[in-house]
Amino acid sequence: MFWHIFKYRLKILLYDKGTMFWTLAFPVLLATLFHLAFGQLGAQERFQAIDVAVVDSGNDAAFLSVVESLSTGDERLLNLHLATRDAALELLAAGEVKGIIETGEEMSLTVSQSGIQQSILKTFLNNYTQTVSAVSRIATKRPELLTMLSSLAAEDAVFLVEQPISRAAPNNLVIPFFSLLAMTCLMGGFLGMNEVNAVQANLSAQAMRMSVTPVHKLRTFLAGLSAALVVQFMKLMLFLAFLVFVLSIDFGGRLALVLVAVFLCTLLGISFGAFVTSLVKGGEGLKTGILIAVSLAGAHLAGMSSPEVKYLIEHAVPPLALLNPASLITDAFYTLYYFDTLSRFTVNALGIIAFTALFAGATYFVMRRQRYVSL
Amino acid sequence: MIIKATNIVKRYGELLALDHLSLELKEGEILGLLGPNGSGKTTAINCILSLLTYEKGEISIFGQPMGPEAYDLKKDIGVVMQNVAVFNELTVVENIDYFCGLYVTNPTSRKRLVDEAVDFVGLNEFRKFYPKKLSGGLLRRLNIACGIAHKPKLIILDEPTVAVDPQSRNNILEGILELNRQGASILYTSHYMEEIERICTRVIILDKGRIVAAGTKEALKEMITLGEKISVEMHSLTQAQAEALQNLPNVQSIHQNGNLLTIKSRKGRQNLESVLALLKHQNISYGKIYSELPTLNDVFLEITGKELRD
Repeated sequence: MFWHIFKYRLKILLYDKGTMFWTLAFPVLLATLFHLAFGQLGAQERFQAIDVAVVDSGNDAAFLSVVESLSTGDERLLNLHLATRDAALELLAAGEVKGIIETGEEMSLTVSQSGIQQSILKTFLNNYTQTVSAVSRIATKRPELLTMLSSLAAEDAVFLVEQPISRAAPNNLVIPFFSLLAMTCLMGGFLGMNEVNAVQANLSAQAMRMSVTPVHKLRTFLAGLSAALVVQFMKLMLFLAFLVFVLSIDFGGRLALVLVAVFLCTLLGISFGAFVTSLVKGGEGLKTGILIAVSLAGAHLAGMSSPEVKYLIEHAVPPLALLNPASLITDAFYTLYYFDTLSRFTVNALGIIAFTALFAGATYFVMRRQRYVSL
Repeated sequence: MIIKATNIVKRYGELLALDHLSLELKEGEILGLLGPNGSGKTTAINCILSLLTYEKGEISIFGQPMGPEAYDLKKDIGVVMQNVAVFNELTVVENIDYFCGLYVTNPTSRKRLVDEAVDFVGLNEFRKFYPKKLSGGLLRRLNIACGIAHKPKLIILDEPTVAVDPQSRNNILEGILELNRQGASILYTSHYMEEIERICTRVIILDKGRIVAAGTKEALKEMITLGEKISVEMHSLTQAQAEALQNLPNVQSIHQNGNLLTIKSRKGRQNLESVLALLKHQNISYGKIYSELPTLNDVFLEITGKELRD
């Protein structure tokens, strides 16, 4: 009996075009759009060396040595253009350099407009003049310390050491994709909704027919839920494969744990849909609207449209982040991606399980009823 | 006794939907529940099937108390709901197989039963069709097939012909009679008195949740004073002619609507002859003239003062 119901529920769910759209086509479409949008953003965020013209009016060999060293290599800060003042002004006017640094007693920076690159040039010049000034003052007032200063420079002494908490680089651009995956998990609520509709006699004609058959309602429901679980898990696998292999989204190297997370999130999504359907009074349109709204809003607050929103919510309204299943899911995938330890992922996983238990328990409480006051 | 319901009281808030309803369905009969929309037919069925709670009363099926978990009883019950209850994602055969499989686990037996059901409702040409491709009539037939494929001893049909074209309705009614001939006892609800008259062996007339009359069709018609309805196509009568008609023996009332005069008479052997003689005597010209025996609608009208389809 279980397999009989399971087999047909599987087919019904696979042929349900509405559910297929919201749980697979829509996320794939959004992910593609995100990829196009954030791909451009990533390119823009990569650092570009700053074109700068240097007019060496003061014959400052030390400064020239510094800017030349900063203008070599793949990760150079500057593209150096040594020029006369007139030539430099022409380059600036043509927009070929962002600023002109002129050496002499008073070092000067000339820019034609404000911007990030101009600010970097100003910061660099300030640092240089302050360092030169400090060294000069030490040489004048405490010449005996110069030896120590030169030995420190020779040893390339480092006083601040970066302690990475992860092998992965922090990457905010993966957050929208993780929260999109969270949204897709919650959209799995449509399958939960279908399963409740299929057994609650007050919700559909098919369920009314099911209620007069010699099969226990919860048995039918369990078979249907199992089919929903298989279908939604497979769809999430397809979506995950699309993200990883087509859009090259990095989920870190822990495939097994990512699959565990996806499985837990599948359970959460389906139980969420069952919970909404069994508890909310009203037509299917209202319930569909609630599922879509909660999934989209939750994913938005979890950083789908902008990673900053996720951090803002976590810092300004921490309870909201805790009560938002989409935020928990997003965080679970991000912790798997970024952190080497599993402590934060475990907390997220327990949160997902707790939500699932809450939704499933409330659904059972409503659904155990076999007779109705009205149909 | 197949169904025995005693003193069922069901309320929807302040509304009394079933007012001490009692009914019995005997083995082999087709019991019709007739009543206008909102009279309590579907509520009665849903209470009998234990889908609805009710405030008072007892219901037994096959001599056993009926309840939501009376699975042994449910095995022998087939239900055809008022709303079409099939899955659009499954074909005709798959729909029937799905519902039949909830009663019959043996695959070989089930396949035979499904084939018989498809054949029975005349959907052989449409086996692989999805419900959305079927017409309203064919969809209703599929709905019936899903409810009866497992060959139940008791079949409950709740307005199975709503929104069905006359030809499909005819097929459905013939099918129900055939199911009865094959041994099923049937509880049939409708607000179409023609259907009830045609297929039911016994009739219960419901109004506002109460039984207003019950018995065989003949017995119900015997309960009322109306014996015959004579309709005459003619131009309007003069006052004197109308009075003459009204004074004929057995005439209860006359009513002119356009060119149609309706004369309602009590039971009598020569009512039509009397009317014809008067028309000839008064030299009144007329077109068609015909006589009808009372219908269940007349029974309902005389008992409740309103038409079945009000």
